[in-house]
Amino acid sequence: MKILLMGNPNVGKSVLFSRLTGVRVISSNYPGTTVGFTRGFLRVRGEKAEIIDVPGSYTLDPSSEAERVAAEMVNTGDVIINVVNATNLERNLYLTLQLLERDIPMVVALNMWDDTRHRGIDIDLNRLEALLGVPVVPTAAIAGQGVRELVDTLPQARRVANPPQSRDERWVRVGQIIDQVQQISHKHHRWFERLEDASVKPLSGFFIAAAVLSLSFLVIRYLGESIIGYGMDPLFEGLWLPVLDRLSAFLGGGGILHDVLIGKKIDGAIDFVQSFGLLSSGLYVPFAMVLPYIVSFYLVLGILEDSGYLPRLAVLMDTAMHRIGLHGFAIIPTLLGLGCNVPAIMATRILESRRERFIAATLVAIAIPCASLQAMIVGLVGGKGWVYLAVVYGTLFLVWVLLGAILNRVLSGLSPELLIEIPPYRLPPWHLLFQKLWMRIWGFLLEAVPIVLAAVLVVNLLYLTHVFSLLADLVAPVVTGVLGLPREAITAIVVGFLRKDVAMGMLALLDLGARQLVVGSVVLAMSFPCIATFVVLLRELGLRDLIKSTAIMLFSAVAVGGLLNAILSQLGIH
Amino acid sequence: MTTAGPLKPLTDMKTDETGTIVDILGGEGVTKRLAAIGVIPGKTVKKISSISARGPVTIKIDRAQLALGYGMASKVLVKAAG
Repeated sequence: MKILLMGNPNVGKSVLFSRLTGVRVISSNYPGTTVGFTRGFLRVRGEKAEIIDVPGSYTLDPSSEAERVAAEMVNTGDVIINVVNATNLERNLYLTLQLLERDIPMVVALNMWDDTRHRGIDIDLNRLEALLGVPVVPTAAIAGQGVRELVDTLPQARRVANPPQSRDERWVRVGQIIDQVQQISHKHHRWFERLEDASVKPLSGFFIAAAVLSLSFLVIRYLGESIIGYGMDPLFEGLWLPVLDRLSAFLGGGGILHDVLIGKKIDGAIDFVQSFGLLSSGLYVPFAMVLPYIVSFYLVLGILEDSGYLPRLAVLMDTAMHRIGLHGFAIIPTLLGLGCNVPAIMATRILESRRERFIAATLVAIAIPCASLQAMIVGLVGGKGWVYLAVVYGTLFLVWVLLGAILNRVLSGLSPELLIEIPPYRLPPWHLLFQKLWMRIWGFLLEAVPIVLAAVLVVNLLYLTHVFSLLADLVAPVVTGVLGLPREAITAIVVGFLRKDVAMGMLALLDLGARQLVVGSVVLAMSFPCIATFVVLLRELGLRDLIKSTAIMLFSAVAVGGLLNAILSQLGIH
Repeated sequence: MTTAGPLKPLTDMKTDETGTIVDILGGEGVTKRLAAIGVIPGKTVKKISSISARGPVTIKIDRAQLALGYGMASKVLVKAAG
């Protein structure tokens, strides 16, 4: 048996899915969190059934990639659970009626049921059930209520197969049903609702946005720094260093095995950043330099996602974003990209047109540095002075704006307009917030750490076999001539294809001046994305657009790096 | 009881003004997208804000808050209430 979880965007399908299957999935408080589909299993009357969390959709006549997925999947199900937002029944029943026209047994889950009372909404369940002709089960997925009843009701799913209606007929029918089942008593403006309105009004809205974004930045920075300063550094210096010192002595303080495992000693001591051995830098970079910022970034992002603030930011940014050929909602993939480019590029599926998706994905891949790279940039460039850090971020921001404006002019077609539902503010459900944070941290550890170790190993082997010097000779004119970097920097750029954080760590080995470090960081951020991003770009854009995107990437990385080098040289910065 | 106001697009409504949607000007594409999200003739809307001169408009409809790009909002014709 195959069960489909279907419903409007942001009604809690993913939370319900987690409750039904025990499979953890990412959920947030904005429409379009789920862009692909997740499958899981549950037991219905002792029988194993497959269940699919289908991306949210308002209608079965699709207008975005996520809706297309939903429309295509509907016919593959044996049973549909139509998840409906009980606090906004009149908007949700349109899809319900459309689903009832299909020849598939269905059950309605009236979710967010616990929210109806304090909003002054009273729904007559029996009447609704009679009018729809299928079982209706009230649920509160976040609190985990009604889930068992929902599963127990599945065998009673009813096939209705109403004759197809026109759009207007369906809306009339929705109105008739609502008149019979729902009563609203007026409730006073809640404090949240005032804040909701204030966040999308011009003056107060921009003030709130500035406050939210600067606060987010401060928390990410101080939390990250604190984890490093009070947690990771003492741990590595106090506990791990003595172990490595002993191992180093045991291995005789040098030789191939010593260099691969512990790395080169810097001024006679092991340096966690510069030694570049598997057990020194290979562990220090992912755990002590990057992980703390992954934790702080995703904690803050999770709060922003679950509170419902992000769609409001999208509305405020809309006018500005149109200049780069995107509408305001593209700010969400962009923010996700500051964590990791891979989910960011997948999230561009919420954008309607191919043109928008190409612009958004290309801009993320080129101009948005991921958290791993940023952690290293902050750690290394920040050491030379905050001005240089500002130059790196300023340059990337300018590239984002200018490249977007150019793509918007050059690419044919117009980008569609913003059209979104803004969810109510909600206090983030803490158990879901921390579950999501844990999933993202675990994902980082699982994917990043092995690749970091592999990259460090590969670097050591390539050094030993002198492959790098051959490669360096080949591209030396561009790297030394145009970018003003030492030839060895090419190795870092190549390694950047594996992991950006390791690549940045390699730049630290080269004893670069401030100018070179700034140019190196920018080029590293803009040139080839890491291999994981590359794969997801290929999947999302297709080969032709990937080649186009890569060409833009290489050209702009060299151009911007060269220009930055020239300007900084003129200013007399070494 | 209510005196029917003049017809005007959402973009011309004042902040906090309410009205009834009368018509969606424009082709099937726009009408379809708006209908999917619940913007259809006969519904009562309250305008919450306009972000900038040609920026998006936010409205309240059926207790849901929606944001529409300027071009789309200018195609939604509303009869202001009183």
